[in-house]
Amino acid sequence: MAQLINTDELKDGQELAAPIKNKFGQVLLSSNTILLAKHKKLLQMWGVFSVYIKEDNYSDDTINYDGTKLDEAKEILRKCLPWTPRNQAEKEIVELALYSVLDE
Amino acid sequence: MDILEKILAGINNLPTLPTIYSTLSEAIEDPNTNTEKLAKIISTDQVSSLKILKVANSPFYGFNGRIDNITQAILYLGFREVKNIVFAITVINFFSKDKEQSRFRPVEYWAHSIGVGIATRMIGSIANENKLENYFLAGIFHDIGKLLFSEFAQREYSKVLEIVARNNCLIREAELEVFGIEHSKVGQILSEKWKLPLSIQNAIYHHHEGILEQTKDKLIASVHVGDIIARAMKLGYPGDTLIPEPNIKVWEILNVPDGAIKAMKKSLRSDFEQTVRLMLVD
Repeated sequence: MAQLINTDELKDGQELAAPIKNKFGQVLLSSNTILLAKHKKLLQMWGVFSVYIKEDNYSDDTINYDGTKLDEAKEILRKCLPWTPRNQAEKEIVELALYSVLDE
Repeated sequence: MDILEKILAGINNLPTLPTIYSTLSEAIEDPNTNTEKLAKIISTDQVSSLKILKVANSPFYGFNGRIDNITQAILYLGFREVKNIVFAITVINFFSKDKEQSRFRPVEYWAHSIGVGIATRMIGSIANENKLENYFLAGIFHDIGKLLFSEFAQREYSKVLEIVARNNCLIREAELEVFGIEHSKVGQILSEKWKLPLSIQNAIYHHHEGILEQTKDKLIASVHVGDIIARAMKLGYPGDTLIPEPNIKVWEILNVPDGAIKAMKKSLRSDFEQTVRLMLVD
């Protein structure tokens, strides 16, 4: 999975999850590039403020919640989100909504 | 005079924008303008200058405290982005934030708008848009029509909010029932009067649909998704608690990679909290 982080927060050795392109669509840095300090400077010079990096230990946040609480949150969500996700982006929006209910 | 005429008359009678914004707009269009000249115009308003620096240093621009003066803000963010920040701050101060009415709290309204502004900019960036300067502003002003309803038709807007509470519907459905017009159209009328760029006018008018006819406008699609994400994450309060289904066509326009929306969660929340503090409290 990919994680969007600010260029400022990049650490040496992190790996790009998506290519960086200029406004003409030319690839400036390809995905899988291992980022070093020099890349960070370049990105800042190009005005790239955030990049996708690969996340090593991606974990599903819902594992931190017990089953009953999760069921209750899903029930609350059904009332304000009465549709079924049709693609990955929509699934992620539903997840964001679920975490918001769980964190209340 | 019917209620719609009253609202339109209210918009017509709104003053033009404060001098600093119009002076800045003219200066930006002048080919002989330089950074120092623009910085000088902005610096004449010390309160705005301070806020601009705070916003320019907020995490979502990625400079985290390294911008110490207006000249640097212009150099790093660009003329138009700085002008848009000036505009956003000016308009937030222009309307009273204390004028609460039953179920409509301007502070919550602005908080939602700021949340949408930040989410819209992030979506634009994910969608590989290079010209992001209008994204934050379009998000901040997407719902400005709600504020106009509440300003010029206070009694009737209370009725709108009662319908929302009773029927658990979208606020725009209740607006249609009471006014025969939605906040998106009213907002577009104001944005036209204030001569905002056409792309922002279109984003305000079409943010519910997410698209404009056959165009592949990334700004409209980003505001549409930004609004839904801000609602999903409960960033401020938009006037109802529903999270509408996105228009399926926006995904073709935005090409959002898998994992990108979920990855926004942490930074969106922290950027939102910090920006709300900067723009509404400090």
